[in-house]
Amino acid sequence: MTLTRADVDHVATLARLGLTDAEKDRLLGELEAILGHIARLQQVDTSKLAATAQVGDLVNVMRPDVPEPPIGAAAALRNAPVSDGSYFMVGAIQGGELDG
Amino acid sequence: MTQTARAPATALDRYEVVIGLEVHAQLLTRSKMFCPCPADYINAGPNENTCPVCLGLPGVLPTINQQAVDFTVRTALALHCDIPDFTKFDRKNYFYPDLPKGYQISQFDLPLSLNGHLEFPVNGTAVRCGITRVHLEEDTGTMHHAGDVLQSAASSLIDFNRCGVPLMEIVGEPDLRTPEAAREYLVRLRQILTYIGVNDGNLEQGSFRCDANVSLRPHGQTELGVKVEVKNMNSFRAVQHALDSEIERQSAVLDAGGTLVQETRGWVETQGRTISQRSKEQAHDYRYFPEPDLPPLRLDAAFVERVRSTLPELPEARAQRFQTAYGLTAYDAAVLTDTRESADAYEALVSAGVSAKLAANWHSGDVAALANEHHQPLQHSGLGIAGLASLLRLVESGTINGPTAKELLAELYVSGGDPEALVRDRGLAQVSDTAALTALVDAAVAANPGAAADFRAGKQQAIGQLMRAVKDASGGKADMPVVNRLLRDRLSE
Amino acid sequence: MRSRAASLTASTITELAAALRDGSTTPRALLAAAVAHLEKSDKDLNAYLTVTRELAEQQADAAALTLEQHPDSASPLCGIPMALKDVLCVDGIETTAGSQILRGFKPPYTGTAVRRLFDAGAVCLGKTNCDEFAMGSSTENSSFGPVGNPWDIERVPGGSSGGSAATVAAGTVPYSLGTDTGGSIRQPAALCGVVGFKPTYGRVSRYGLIAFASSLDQIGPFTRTVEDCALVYSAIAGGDPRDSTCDPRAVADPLDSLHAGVAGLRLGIPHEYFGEGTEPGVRAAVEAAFAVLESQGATLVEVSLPSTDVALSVYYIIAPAECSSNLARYDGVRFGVRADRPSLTDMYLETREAGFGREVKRRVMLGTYSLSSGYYDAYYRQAQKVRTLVSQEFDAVFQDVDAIISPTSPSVAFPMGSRSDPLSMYLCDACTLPTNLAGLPGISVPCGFVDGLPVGLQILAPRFEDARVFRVAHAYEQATDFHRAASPFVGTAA
Ligand SMILES: [Mg+2]
Ligand SMILES: [Zn+2]
Repeated sequence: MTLTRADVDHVATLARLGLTDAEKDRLLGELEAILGHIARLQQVDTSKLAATAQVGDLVNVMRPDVPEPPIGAAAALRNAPVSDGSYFMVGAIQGGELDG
Repeated sequence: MTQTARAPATALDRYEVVIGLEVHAQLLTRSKMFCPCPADYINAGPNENTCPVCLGLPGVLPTINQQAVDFTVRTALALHCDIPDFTKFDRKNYFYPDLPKGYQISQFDLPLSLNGHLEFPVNGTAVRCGITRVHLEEDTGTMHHAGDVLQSAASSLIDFNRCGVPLMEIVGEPDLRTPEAAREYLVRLRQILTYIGVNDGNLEQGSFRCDANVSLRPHGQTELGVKVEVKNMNSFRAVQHALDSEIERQSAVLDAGGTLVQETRGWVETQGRTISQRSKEQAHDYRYFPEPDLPPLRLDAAFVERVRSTLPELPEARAQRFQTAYGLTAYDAAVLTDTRESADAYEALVSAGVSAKLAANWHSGDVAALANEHHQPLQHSGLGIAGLASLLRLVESGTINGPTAKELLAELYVSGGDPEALVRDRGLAQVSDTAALTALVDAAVAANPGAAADFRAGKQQAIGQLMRAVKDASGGKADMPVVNRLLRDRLSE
Repeated sequence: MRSRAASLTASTITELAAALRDGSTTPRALLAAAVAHLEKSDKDLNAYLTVTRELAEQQADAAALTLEQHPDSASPLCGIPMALKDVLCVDGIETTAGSQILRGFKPPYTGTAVRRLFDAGAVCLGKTNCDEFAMGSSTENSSFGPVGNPWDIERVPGGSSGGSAATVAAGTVPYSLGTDTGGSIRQPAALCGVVGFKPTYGRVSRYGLIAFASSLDQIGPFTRTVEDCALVYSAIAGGDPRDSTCDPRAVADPLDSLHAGVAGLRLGIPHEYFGEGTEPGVRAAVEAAFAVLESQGATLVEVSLPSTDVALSVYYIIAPAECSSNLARYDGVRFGVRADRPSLTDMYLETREAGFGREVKRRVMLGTYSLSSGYYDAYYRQAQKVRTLVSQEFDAVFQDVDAIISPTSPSVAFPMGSRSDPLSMYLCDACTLPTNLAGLPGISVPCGFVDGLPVGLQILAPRFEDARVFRVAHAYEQATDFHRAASPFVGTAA
């Protein structure tokens, strides 16, 4: 699998990174090198291997349905870049945020 | 509106309509899905019911609410789903201001349940719709757009009270063929969810939400047509109208030899049409992967059986039993079992000694009307089930007549009180004693010679005036069937 | 070689705990000494991002009261200054993870591991510098400037927990907390000549740890001795209802078996851990350490971990994939720094473009790519399967040996700016990151010097055998003097 500049554009959009063209060019080279190194993964025969999503054998870790006091709006909004004192605020969404 | 409502009938002649519904239903837990915040997001001030976890602050971790898992399994069992013994949560990644973490914890390839179905009648014929899966996820926050029009809003306000409320996604197979069937599917699904106590079924407030996938294909064609997803329908009426109008739109395009594009469209109630929101090219790439912060779930048979034991008798089965056990008509049984409160109240009346038929008539008639009028089911009314039972026993024993019972019911429904005592104190007991009534009959005939003569001359309706006279003379307490008999005897002498 | 005994703040936890109880010092006195040493040394080291003096003074006074009222039941950590890597959340204290995007962020809560130390009477001196979001092996990726290595400030302290390693090596505090996702505790411990321990995955709660890669991250201590390390580990380990991946099983007290020695133990030496990047001096020091362990009665065994090489590839798929998702929350909406743009989309793009540094963007791009449709199976899913293979190879080796011994890092501390190419930097962790893939416990202890720069010995054990790691490490430490060596910064304020 070879990485293209179009891939870089697409991935940058998915990740919401407003990269400059210079950054995209640099990343194309760096990611190609890393993916090239990683390519050895494909040589491993994994036909008999299960996937490991997390180590450990824990299952059914659940909590009882008992409410605890929330921290409240004042504490929630304390770190907000922009708020009106009750709500978090963001700018124009213009027909539902860009997708992809 | 009427046009779009009529048009599909013709479209349905030319094309087979294929509809699949996706329902998101909030679970009635006390705390949120992955944090212990109170799940009540409506009665709290903006952002009051939040914590570091549901705000997606750096460093926090989710924890699974067991009640939400139980409720989802309960739902899956009610919908005849299989419960796999292994299930896990996954991250669904996308950016939106109402999604704090930048991903929704949901389920992808190994949901809590699979392969169920829902059966219901549409215009008398039975329809069976497959349930692909029922899985568990978390709700998002809510946004308010300045001016309420997303496109033109200069800024939006975000409230995270709803964020993290447990949400069940119920994915239906594309087995529905008409908007009516789609509507009926939703009515039945909602009835079941409220019956088993996992959801409050409020479409307007959004605790029960529906998206639809609609496509058309020529009759006889096996492969599906181009699928369009329709969103923003917040009432059963809206669902039917939105589907009607979308079917009309698609058939118009196809009739004109055009081709449809796979897209997501939103229903705009005010314009009575759907408008495009997102095309396939713009489709999300959600990058699902297993949620590393949550160990998987192994729901063994014991767990499933424990949940199964919490399942109440479902409306379908209960209606059947009502017909056989209480000799009710299918219609009465359906009306009485419409909600769980109604069915429970009915059976309480019967076990309190009221005859099944009488209880059915009153409960689905006057009582239902009062319950609506006062927005108060019988259980929570002042009269209560015991009160109604004793009132109806008075009717059955013939102690009071129908009209009196109606008046007492209306009076006591809210205020409450002991019917027997009232009947005694106010002397409302009806007069059935023949001697007393014969005296009144004689007086009435004497006082209305004209009417008596007319009747004797064969003018049947003339008896009405005489009966009214007796009724008035008895202060409304006379047992009128008896009066009728006595009058006829008297006049035929 | 200079000895750290010269400085009060360079003493061990056990020494200070005794001093606090025999009245020869007080929490306030220890704090004052630490602050003085920090003010003198940090101009050169840049180990601290925030000094939490007010919090420290409150904690010191509370600790003094506890020591006065219950000197015997009080924790050995009571009244002793410490520092926290800036990825650990403390209520009301700015926590940046070394990133511009979190400048000014004050968490409304304190994480579990930190809470346990605070409850034990710890005195928090400050938040330490680190690679941005713990992504790096040199702390050069901090957006607040690099950290100097106390043995040579022209060189890196290793990373990502460089500040936490450096402040212990500099003699400012006797211990600190770091986090280890691919070697971020053990590698800087090796490069700074201190003890650094990465617990079994699931032994220490991650609640309050700003996530880099959730299935790999663990919190662990930096100390000057193995015994101190065991003390701090005991204080933070154990189940936590707020972290579902934290194992509730009881934690064996490592102090119980600390002095059991290595006689009769079989120690495995994986030749794959001596790759071509291994510096001769490092190899010599580590082989000398092996000989010491043998002389203590351990049996040395050649073992093989064939997937060591490919483990790096597995790591650089899984860690970036998880980080690309974990870092999506930095969107300028609820906290942190927002780029002021009228449209939401532009705000997202600019906030993340301006707020994240090069390495973070690189890994977010890599992870997003490997999860995106069409590549998931070839990269992420394949990596998950090979991850299983890596664990199986460790399991097999542990059938034969009690512990694995190796170099912690192929090299000693390298000059700042000397590893600009990402791949060469990633190779720093060749000996440490397979451990995280398998969730094993691992430690690095000082085992010698090359041209005055410290070398670290790594000791690994099976999952939940954390106590065995301390036992072997302690046996080695007691047979050598390297842990007594002091960096030039030690005692400068005494
Ligand atoms: Mg969903
Ligand atoms: Zn919450």
